[in-house]
Amino acid sequence: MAITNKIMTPEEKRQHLHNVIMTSKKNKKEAQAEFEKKCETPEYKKIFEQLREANAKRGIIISEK
Amino acid sequence: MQKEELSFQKNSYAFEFAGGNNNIYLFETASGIQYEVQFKPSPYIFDKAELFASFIYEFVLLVRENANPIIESDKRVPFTIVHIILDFYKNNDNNVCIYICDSSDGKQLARARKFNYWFSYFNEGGFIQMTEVFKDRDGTIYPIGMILKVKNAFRAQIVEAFANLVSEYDKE
Repeated sequence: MAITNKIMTPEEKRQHLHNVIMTSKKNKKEAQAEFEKKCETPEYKKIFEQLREANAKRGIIISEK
Repeated sequence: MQKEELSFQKNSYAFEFAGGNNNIYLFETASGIQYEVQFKPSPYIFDKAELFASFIYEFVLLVRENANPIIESDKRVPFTIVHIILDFYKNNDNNVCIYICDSSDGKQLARARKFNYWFSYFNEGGFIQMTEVFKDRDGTIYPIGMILKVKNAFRAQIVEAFANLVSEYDKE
């Protein structure tokens, strides 16, 4: 995907865009799985707890799940 | 502090910049839905050799799927996302966000409409948006958008690169 798009042929551009989108989809799928895992870590739990406290100070109360 | 910034603070949820390679931001809604926003460095989208390549980021929005089965409309969410985007652009006027709407559930056009509406609603000047739709050979449509600041030092080159990439591909 490192071809200069100024000199790409229309077909190369199509392939490049296809590759960009497929890379994005793959990355997003991996990032989603990673996010789900990280939400269970003490680090993320602590951050979300602090965010709940910050929201509460603004009068936003998080409802029970 | 600008008036616009105060409005976002008042109407958005608290968020945290968690950092990392993908510039991660986190927030949680009143109904307990957890979000992660990423600005993933994506220099390959245009041309890695371009001077602006290091400022190209893909905007990625993740929702914790098991947090709540029903995601209800929440007017604070768009405020929060826009507030996060503004915070990210504060780091560097030359930053550029590319977004490719999620097509996994076939609702990519609805997402694009919502995102475009947010841009029109929240942009009080200072930002440029470009959008295009890419139709893949299998018929799947992918809305693609780009947001950059008016005062981006590479504005002309980036706008040209986007237009060049999305408008002249083989559409047969």
